Amino acid sequence: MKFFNRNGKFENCFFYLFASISLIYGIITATATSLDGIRIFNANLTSYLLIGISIILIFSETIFITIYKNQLLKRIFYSISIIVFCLVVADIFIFGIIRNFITASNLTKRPSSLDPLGVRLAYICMKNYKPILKGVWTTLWLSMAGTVVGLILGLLFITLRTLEVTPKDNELIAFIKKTSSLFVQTYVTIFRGTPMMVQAIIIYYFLPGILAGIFGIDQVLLNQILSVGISGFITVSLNTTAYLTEVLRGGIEALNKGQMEAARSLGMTRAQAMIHIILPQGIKNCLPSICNEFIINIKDTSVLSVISVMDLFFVIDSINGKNASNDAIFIAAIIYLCLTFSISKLLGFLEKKMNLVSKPLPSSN
Amino acid sequence: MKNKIIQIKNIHKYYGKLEVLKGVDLDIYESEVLSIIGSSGSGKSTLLRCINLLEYPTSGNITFEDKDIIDYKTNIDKIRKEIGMVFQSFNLFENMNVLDNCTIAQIKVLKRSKHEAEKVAKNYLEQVGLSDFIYSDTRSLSGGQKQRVAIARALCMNPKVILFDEPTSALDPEMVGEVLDIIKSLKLLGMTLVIVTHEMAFAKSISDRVIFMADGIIVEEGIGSSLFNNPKEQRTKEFLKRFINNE
Repeated sequence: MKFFNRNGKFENCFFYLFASISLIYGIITATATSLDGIRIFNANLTSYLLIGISIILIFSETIFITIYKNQLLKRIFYSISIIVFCLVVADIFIFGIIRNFITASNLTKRPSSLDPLGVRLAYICMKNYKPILKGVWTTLWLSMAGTVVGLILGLLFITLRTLEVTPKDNELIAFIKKTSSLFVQTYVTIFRGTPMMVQAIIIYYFLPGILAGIFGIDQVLLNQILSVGISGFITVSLNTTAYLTEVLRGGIEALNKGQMEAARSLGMTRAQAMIHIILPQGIKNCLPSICNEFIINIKDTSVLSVISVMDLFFVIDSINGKNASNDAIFIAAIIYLCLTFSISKLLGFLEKKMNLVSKPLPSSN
Repeated sequence: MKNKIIQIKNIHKYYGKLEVLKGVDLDIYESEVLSIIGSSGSGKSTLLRCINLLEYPTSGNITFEDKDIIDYKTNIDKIRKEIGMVFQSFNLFENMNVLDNCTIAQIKVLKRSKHEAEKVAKNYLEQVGLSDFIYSDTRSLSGGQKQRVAIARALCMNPKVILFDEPTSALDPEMVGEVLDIIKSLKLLGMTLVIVTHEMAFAKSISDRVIFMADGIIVEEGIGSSLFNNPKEQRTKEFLKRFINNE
């Protein structure tokens, strides 16, 4: 029995997979003793219908199609198997989630550890949805703003890092250039070499004192301004800057040396060449890494919870503490996964759009 | 007597301990076509790149129109806009289309308006035969087309001299001819051209002067095709022997 048809697609393989899973689920629901809640297949007509359709599909495909090799019927059966399988998946997952929420909303008191996990999670969601949504919002804006500021500062730092001392510069300018380059290198080493959690604690507890000492601003005022939210934002930004500086450096150094040579040979200054030729191409090279950094930041903002930034993890952790159990962590896992997955797909789609060739070539000689 | 537009005196260039140019003296005259031939490693590309200071000579003197370009005080960007360069690997700006490649330097360096710059660019792109490709992405062009864009890009700056660093070495044989034809047409315009090339027949047919380099020095110099027909030095004879069989 061929599993791949001439186009190399896995149609046959998936067909049997879908049909057999549907059949098994039909048997399970038809023979189950206690089924409650909203279901599509509920040990009634629909369950038996599911069993019947699955058997007919498998039988027809095996005997009928293999002998007569009718492509149209094969496509029809494959489509039917997909529809049936989708109904099964909806019954398990979507209606499953709805069932948990309905059960949770009917509870009079908190579910104990004897109740199913789904009901416990649904109960937590219903009682705490406001803080959870606020936590998601905090996580998102912290990672987004942090990445954007990190990119802007990263661009500034990469220009400082790659300043070249020309024979024309006097001693003062040469000294400034060398020092800026060393400063950026030191900064990157420190901020990539320490955990963001450590950086967050130092920035929240000690930055007001440092700034008050250097600039003479009233420390009490600074403590009010540099709240947990602002300190958290500063931490993510400074951290992301270090990583993106290195990413940009890699993207620029990967460029052909000839691009800069061609620009200089036309009489452009180094600054003009960087702005119009080198940086646009360098940034384009780095776009996947920059998007990746954003997605990493979504997860890494969870460490800011140590200074009580009310991100998603902090909210979930508080809920766990309040309930004296760790159930809510699954909510955190699911939400983080949804965030990272959807944003990475979205950014991948945007990247593809930007890589299209600008104009189709007219017929070449 | 024609004007000397570029004077190179006693150039030495070291890369670490390796001496690549061992005392080169060369005068380049206005409106002449000068070809530099020699085997790999002879220093010809290094010498060419010293003229617009893409390589900085370790010692020696170079003057362009009587201005010392080695001096720190000279604004090298102002000198470079008078000296165009065409590279072996084209070096087109890949984040722009063909037209923008030719106009970006005009707008930023020569401070021309966008309208004027595009007019000049379209004129030169037509001269190199690429009017149909004005808005094309540079990545979709063939090698010969890319090099023609590079030549047009250099021409748009209206330079006094154009340097060619092995312009056809990276091209498929079919495309070499179209680029060489363009260079020949530049000679008819009276431009000063300095060409480093391996195309001996081309050098022989187009050059007003030819110099042969080996081991970092100029071994021999000849007017027109005299270097090819009557080489005086032994090394020149040995070098040319390899090409006589290939013609």
